[in-house]
Amino acid sequence: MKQQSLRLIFAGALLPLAIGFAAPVRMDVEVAHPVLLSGGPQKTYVRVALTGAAADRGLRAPVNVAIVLDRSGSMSGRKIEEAKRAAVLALDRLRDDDIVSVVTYESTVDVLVPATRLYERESIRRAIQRIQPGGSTALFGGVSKGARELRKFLDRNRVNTMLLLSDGLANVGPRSPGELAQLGASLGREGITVTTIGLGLHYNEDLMTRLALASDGNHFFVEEAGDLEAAFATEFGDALSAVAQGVSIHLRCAPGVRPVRVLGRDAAINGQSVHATMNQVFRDQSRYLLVEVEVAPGVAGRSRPVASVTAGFRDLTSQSDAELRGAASVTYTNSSSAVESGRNRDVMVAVTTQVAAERNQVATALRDEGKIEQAREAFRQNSEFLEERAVELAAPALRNDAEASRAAGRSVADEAEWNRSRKIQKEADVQMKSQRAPMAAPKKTQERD
Amino acid sequence: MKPRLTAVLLLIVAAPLAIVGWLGARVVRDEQAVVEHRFQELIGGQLRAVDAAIATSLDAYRERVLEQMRPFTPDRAELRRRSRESPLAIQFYVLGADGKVEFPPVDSPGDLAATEREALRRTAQIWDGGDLGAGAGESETGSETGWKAWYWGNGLQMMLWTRDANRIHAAEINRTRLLAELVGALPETDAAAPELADGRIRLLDATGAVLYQWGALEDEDDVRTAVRFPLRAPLNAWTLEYVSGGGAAFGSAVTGGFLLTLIPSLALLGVVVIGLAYYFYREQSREAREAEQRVSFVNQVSHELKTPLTNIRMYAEMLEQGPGEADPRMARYLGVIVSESQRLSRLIANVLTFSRKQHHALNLRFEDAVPDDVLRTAVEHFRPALEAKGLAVELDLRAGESRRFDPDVLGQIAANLVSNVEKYAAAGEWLRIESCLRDGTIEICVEDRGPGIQERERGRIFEPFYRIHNSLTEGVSGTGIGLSISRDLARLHGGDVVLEPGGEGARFRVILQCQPEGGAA
Repeated sequence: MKQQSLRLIFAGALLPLAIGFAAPVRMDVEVAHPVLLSGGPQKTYVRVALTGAAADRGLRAPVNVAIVLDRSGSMSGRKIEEAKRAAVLALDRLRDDDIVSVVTYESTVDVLVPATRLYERESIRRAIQRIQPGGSTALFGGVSKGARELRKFLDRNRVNTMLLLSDGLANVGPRSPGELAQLGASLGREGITVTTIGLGLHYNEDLMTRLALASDGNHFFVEEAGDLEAAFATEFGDALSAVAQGVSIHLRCAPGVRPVRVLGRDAAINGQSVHATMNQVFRDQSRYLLVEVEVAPGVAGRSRPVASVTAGFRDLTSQSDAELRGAASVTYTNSSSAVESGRNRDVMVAVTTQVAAERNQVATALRDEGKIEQAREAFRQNSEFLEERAVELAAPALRNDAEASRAAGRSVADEAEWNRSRKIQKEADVQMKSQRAPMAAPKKTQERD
Repeated sequence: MKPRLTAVLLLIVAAPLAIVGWLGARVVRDEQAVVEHRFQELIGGQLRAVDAAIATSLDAYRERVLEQMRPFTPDRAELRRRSRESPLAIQFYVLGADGKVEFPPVDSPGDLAATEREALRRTAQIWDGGDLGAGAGESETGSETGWKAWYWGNGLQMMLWTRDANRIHAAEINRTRLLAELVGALPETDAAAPELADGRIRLLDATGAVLYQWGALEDEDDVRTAVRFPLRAPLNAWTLEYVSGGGAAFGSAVTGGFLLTLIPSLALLGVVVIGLAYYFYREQSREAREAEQRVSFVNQVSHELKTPLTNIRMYAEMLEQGPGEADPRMARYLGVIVSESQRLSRLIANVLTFSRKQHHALNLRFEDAVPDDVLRTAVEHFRPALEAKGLAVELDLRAGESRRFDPDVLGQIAANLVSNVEKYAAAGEWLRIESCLRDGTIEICVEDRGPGIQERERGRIFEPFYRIHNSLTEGVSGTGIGLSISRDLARLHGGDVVLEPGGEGARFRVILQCQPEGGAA
């Protein structure tokens, strides 16, 4: 059942924004600068935000989850024990009709628990408790087997997700970030989300983040094994709060508007069309597509449609297909102050976040090339940029990002510090680009015993 | 005698055991080879099954991609949707009848997405080659569907193409996804066949890097490749291999079982052979003991005979030399008594010498004497007998100087040799004895013109109790120890007795080593 309504976003809005609204997902199509100068061609951003409604807590879609655990030799001791504990605790959050599979990998791969409903909790728990570490890291094989288990019950009405834990470098099977990203993209298209957890300081964060990003999953950097429980809890919390799945967004730019690029996400731009997908939309969380567009000059006082958007998805609450439509337009003015005052602060904050993420990646690339000074400078500039924007947009949240950039800049000289900092950044990068939730407390800084 | 017997018995025991053991080892080795061969076949069979399973997975993948390519369409929007949404392929392509790429739209660059531009760059070599669907390269000739494999970036890339009436439709496979599906369908280590034992099957890419592996391996660093072969096309750049743990050889259990039966039978055989050898040893030593008793008996008898005989000889000789009427008959009788008692003395001397030798109690008594005197005495003793047989004695004695040696030994040797001539070579009617002194040695030659000694007997005549059996020796009494003890005595004396080759009859040469004159008196 689709509901459509129109509403105004800003009190003093000059243009009506077409808002698709259907429970349990709301779609907002907004332009960063709803008011544009009439002079030359203007650059602005269109944001398509999908927000999961605060649905009834009792109702949720069943999940189909594969837990893929690294049991290589380096996991020995506390790591494997914490991983087992976290996995067992996570199972407690699932219902009997949820499906779980457990795969472990070292030099070879074992399907410890083939995909099964949770009626036999005790035997699954025992299987997990029996895990013993030893051997190399056949990460690809683990993911392959995990995906196969998920596929046995692949269902549009279930949240299909893989939780991959690794503490080391993959050394059996394909192991380049590019290859894992290609696999992640394939799984993502199938509706399988891969959330990766990097444990300790020796995993390949590029591989883990690209696999996560390509499949629209989350990524957690867990420095202390004790925090694994929190990471598992966050991922399971998300999976259990998904309200929509298989979201396909098609944004069509109006004549005179050219899509330049998409910030953060992978999307295909063909002429005027922009296509993007999201695997899930979660309750009370907003995820968006951000497109930079170039708008042709216009006459003051006149308006111009910018883009129309269609978003199709599977409504997990009603277990039916749903579609939302929306559109955005701009008006032209001769007054710079009108442009200024009409600016959409939320969209600008999102843009700033994405641009800062890109800049951090550039700085990281410099550091990877060994250009330490340039990297330090790039991080510094980025933190300044964020500070300025925090003031300008009155967005204190950006201050945290600025602080993160500064911290990254401080760490570039020391190899060990940088290793840790790079992992923190890559984690933040995934969460910024795909608007996934950071790990719930307890945070990694907290010491446990 | 005893150490030799022990050695022979040991040989009797060891040889069969060694032979059977060697044969057993060979059988074990052969058996091992057979087992290994069988094992290789088994593993080969498993690998072929894996190969077939991979081919089946690949076929299924192919069918699903073809499914996604249908209905065939040149429509851009639809092809783009498919390229965006397909988990199996990363890009679809359409080629016109002329082999030109129609999709992605090369001709309208403005409409190309970045990914499409990259895709065209990646696949340019295929389109330029124009071999897709033309039957060249990896694609099957004349067929309507085929694979095209090429290398780009991080490895083998694959294109699936099919042809409809006007166009060729192609799908660039998501190779990582394909591999993940192939891997997904392969066994896990838990479920690996028990025959793999301590072994592992590996799927290797073109560079030999492991793509996936299964099977438990005790020590991952200690492995050897047992079987290896490439997958069937189009994945023939990849290899399947079986590696086994270095510790456990193939089918060692089987070989072990075989050894388990072999070792007890070897042991049983060993016990039987040792038992037999012990029995023979017992028999042999009993006989030896009896022989010894006999020799001892003869020895004692000889001793007992010696004293009366000495008396008989002494009184006979006294009578012979004493005054009295020269009754020729009496003189002849006395001569016979003396001669026969001397003969008996020699016999007894030989027996006693032999007996002493048996007990390693032979001693030399050196004294200064003239060898020729000893020889003359010896010949003198024989003269009656020799004359009776008509043997002409020719003496060529040139050892007339005094030397330090054991005259008894020389006398005994000479007596033995002359006695032999008298017994066996009387037909030659001639006996010649030579003697001379060389540097520190006494040399004697005793030569006859009898029948001589055949070649094959030459070595054996010096063995104790050996007697040549022929018409000549028939009916002639003898103990068969004369030559044996002569040689033993000569050797004890630092010399030898040898039979010289050639000549009409037999010619024995005796060499004795003298001690320095007037040495230890």
